[in-house]
Amino acid sequence: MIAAGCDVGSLTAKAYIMTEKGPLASEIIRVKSTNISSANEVMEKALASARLRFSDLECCCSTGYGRHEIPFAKMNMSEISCHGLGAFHADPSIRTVIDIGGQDCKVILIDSNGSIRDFIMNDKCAAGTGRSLEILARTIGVKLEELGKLAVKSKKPINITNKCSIFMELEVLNHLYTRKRLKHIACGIADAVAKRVAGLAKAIDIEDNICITGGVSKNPGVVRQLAHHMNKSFKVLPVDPQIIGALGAACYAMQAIKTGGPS
Amino acid sequence: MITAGIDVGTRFIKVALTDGENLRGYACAEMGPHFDAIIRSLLKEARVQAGAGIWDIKKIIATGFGGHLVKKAAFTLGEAACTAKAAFLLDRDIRTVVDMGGLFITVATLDQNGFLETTHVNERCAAGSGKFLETVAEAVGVPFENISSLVSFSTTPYTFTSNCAVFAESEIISQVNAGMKSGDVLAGVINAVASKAASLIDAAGAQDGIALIGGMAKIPAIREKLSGLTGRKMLVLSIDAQSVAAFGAALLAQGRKNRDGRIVAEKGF
Repeated sequence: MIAAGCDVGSLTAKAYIMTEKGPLASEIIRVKSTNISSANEVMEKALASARLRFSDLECCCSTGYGRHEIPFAKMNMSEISCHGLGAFHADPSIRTVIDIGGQDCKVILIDSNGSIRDFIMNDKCAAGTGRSLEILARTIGVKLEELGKLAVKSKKPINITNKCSIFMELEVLNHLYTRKRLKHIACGIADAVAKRVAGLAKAIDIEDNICITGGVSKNPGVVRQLAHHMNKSFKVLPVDPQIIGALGAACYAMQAIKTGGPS
Repeated sequence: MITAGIDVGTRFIKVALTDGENLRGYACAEMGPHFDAIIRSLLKEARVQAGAGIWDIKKIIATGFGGHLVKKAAFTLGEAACTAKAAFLLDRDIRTVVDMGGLFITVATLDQNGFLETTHVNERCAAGSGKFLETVAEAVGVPFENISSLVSFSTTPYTFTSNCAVFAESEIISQVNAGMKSGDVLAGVINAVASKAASLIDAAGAQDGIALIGGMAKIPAIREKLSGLTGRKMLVLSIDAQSVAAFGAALLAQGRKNRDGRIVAEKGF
């Protein structure tokens, strides 16, 4: 039984291929011009590294922002369900998933079976998402991948009071103009994003055993500041936190194969 | 006596020179990291227009969001004080100044003597700001000066699903790829911008004699939409709408004469 999950987000596309025994391959790419071409490319890459062909996949489930358009997916599930099940599959003790993606941010509560108990999300405003980090990293001329490394070097983040990313950009520029240390600014940026996420998490009663997923979870600066603002510690997942959505989708596909669902 | 006003806004730096009554020189450039050099060259440009030498500039006052960055300035003042001063000097009937800039929309109300009464500023979100319009215009590839003519052809303005200026960009790109006309998209933005300004004008309880200034006031479509929404007449001042705050700062740098004829700085705003 070979099942696959394909997660097409706003900034990256992810694919995950698994059997009932365990994982076979996974892949992450930057999105292409259309959702369909991103999905095709990421799945082809994952299939190539698992030495499989499209016809070997028994069921594929899609998720993410572009989930309705994927031609080879037999089913689709919402990102919220997939992140919940994916995190639960990776570590069954997880009860709260904080997913910080490119264009939204969600806090998902799961029960002991891995199904969704409650969730809250912000997809109205870019503050507290990967987009905000990307804009601000560009403003200070630091690569997105290096922003986190730079941020953890600082213990004194600059205080960014604005909530809107564009106003934040202006505030960051002001700090740059007055010659503040770059690492303190980088840490301030991470702190500003973390504050927004912590604010969202406060609106829902979270349980311990928290994990962070999504692209922003790879930024150690944001993770550290988030732990500080929420006054909680996070569990480190045994798999790449960015792939969790695709992993969850693959789990749903696997369930569908077992129950003889869509095929 | 020649004095200078430097208005460091969120998007542009404006420099104005005055002799106390007229705008003698004016220069404007985009804000950047080398703002010191930008200010220096703008001052030179304005000085050449005014026919004044370096030592003729007796005093500089800075204003605007980044006013504190200007090292040469004697001190900095709020934008509202500056725009009020300049607008009232140009037209004694002005009672409200609506300044639509890059990120901020400021509504200032004046009393019959030209003194500042109240100021109202938009909430700190870039939805419906000049930057929002700029981002969208850039995404659809329309130069700023062509916005109005394109908007005038639009019959079905687009309604944004997300108000966020950051998300609007990706929304626009997918809409234009799907065949949406750029005029309709821009008309949608103009509506968003104008309704934000209109709600501020209402909140300020603006009296008639409304002057519309700032970079966005240069777009006729915004002026028309705004007078349509508020049912008020939007007056245009006789100088460049973007230069008003800098001109006001320069005017305030002239100071006023006290009883024994000595010039004192006009503070207290």
